Amino acid sequence: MITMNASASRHAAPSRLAINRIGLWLFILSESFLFLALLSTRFYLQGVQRPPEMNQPLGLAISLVLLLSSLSAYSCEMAAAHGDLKGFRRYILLTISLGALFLVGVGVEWAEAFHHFPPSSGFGSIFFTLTGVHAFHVLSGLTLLALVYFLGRRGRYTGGSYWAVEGAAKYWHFVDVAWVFIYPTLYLVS
Amino acid sequence: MQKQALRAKLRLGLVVFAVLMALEIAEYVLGTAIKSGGWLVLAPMAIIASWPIVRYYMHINQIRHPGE
Repeated sequence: MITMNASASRHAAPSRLAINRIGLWLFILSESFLFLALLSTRFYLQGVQRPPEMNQPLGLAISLVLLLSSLSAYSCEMAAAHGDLKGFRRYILLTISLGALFLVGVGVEWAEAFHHFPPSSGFGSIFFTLTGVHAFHVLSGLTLLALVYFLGRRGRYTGGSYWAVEGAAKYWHFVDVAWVFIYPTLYLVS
Repeated sequence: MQKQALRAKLRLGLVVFAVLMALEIAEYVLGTAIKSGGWLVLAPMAIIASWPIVRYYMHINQIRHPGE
């Protein structure tokens, strides 16, 4: 009986991980519909018009910061997967710092945007909604990463069990993918 | 062995990042240079840029091959 239970739990672990992954992918899919709707709103309300005051270099800079944070999130996940806890801690802190830097960049952009196209204007309403919803996702991703970091410090992710790290990293990459579409839609299309 | 495998994975991550950075910069250059109809170039570029993230960073293949 004991042998059977041990065998059953051995088989249960990978299938539970597979279910976790599918659940997360479904969540990401549902979230992507939200961004898809917001992106289509931009073209429906404003066509391809863009105010000339858009700070395009700043847009590129914060895009590169977010891409770099994705690289560090990936490195963090790989370090956890290979049992490198020191590397895991280093990369997750780097990801959090880069995410915070991205939010500062969005804040600077917002301060400029308030003068040129306030939220009451056509483009302003799209700009602030899209970047606001995205920034909220970044903020929730940062909270998740911070939680994973503190759990990691307590030695939670040892012995090949690191689902929380994987889940947080996947969510962070999704936030990056969303920005890959938001950036040209708001800053470059004309 | 474990360290070598980790190093190989980190190298792959760096290559993906370099590709993404090049695509973003190309997007910026084209987006600022093209005065009209830029979306015809920018939309496919955004789709192309999102694929390496989904494939290599998010490991979408794990859905079909859980052991990957």
